[in-house]
Amino acid sequence: MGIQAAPYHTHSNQRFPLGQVMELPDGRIYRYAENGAVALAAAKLCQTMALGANFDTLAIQAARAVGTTTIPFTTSGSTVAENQFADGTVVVEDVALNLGEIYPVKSNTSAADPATCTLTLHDGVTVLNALTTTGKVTVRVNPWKQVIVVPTVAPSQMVVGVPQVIVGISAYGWLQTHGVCNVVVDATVTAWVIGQGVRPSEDDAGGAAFLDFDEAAQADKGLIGFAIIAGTDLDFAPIFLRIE
Amino acid sequence: MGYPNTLQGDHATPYETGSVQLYPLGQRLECPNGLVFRYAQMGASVAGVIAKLYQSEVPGANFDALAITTDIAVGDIKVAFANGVTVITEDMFEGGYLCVEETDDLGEPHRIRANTAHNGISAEPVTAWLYDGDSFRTVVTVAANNVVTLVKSPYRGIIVHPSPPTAMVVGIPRVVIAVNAYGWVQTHGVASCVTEGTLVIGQEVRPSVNADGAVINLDYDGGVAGLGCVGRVIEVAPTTDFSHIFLTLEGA
Repeated sequence: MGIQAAPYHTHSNQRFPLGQVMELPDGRIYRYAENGAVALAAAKLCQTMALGANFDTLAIQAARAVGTTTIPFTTSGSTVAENQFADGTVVVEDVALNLGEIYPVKSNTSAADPATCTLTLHDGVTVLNALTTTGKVTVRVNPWKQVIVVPTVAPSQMVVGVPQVIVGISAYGWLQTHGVCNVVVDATVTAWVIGQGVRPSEDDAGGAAFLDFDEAAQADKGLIGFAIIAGTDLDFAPIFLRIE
Repeated sequence: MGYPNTLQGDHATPYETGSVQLYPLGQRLECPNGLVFRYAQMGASVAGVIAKLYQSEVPGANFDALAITTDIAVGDIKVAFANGVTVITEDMFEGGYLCVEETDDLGEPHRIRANTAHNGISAEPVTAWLYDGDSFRTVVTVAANNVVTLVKSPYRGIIVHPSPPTAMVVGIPRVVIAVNAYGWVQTHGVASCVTEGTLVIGQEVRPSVNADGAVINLDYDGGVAGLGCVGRVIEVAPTTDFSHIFLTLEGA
């Protein structure tokens, strides 16, 4: 539980785990996030960092027995920084064995490319099924790591919230994911309709546009909230955010 | 028996399973990073699998609109009703719900704590009790159209969703849960799920109508959008493989 002022706090050092949930007395929900390389503007919709495909389907470097707490994999195409995947996840991909297990990552070693990166699972979590070197893993950072404002064209990653305050470069702060929230209005094509849905904008970075389910490709961006007022194009207006 | 509305678990809790029921079905568990799980019982026929989307047992119509056999008074904590020809086992509806249906203005819902058994033949009524502290708020007399409808807990006897789903989807287990055993299904947050087709990062997914337990892109003009959003895509795996999905089954 947070106090009303908490969402306005930013930190130069990490105070909470990334993705930490904070709920305010009126039910608004926030997630603790790390900003990326560009300062975040207030009231603009943010997305998770783009990780690319270099962390998909990576070879398991050494077999692991049931009950072990680490998973080593071989990097391919990218280096890995120490603890880059802390509070992220690893999925075991092995359709033949019908796996698909997901584990929370506590920490990881740094690794050159190609080299071995070893993931350590969170306390108490162990490998459920034996892993062999024929297996593959896909790793992902925490969704609230190095977030960026949603680009102009469309989200290229999952939307993760709206900051209420400027968050400096590489600083930490709170992104709102639920409840009454201010966001940039995109009314270029269609004005918002009070009480109806809004989606990520395709015209304005970090903006929200009217969700018209007949607007084929744009509707697939999905609902992020409901308009509280009609708003004015490129101005700010309150919505009831429903990212989670 | 009382439990907190939400249990606070650690990273390892969602991987626990067992043959003995430890919590009420549907018990909510929140883990670090905002992951949410519900306590569920695996179905009686097929052992569970990891990373597939599950649904409730298909609700039959034989427990719809059953006639009450005794007047309900304000403050009553139980209701008696006439069963049809379907067998009811003791406490089959524990953790489930009943809705009082009356022509005028009711629709009063209550959660069921326990129920008596019935062999589907006897003329004896079945009795269902409400949870401690709950009671009926309105008088309902024995009369035509004054009936109750019962449903089991959505988390009792779960199965991999057929394609298309035939009941409400309820979550994804992170570990194999044996036949009739108990464990946690994830409803919110970063999860692994088998996928159909090529997903689009950042966009929504719905239950598949072609592959059991899988999710697929939610295309709003694709004709089956009515199945609804179950989450957003974080990472795309090849079709039939496992992708990272941010589940939003608890509402978003």
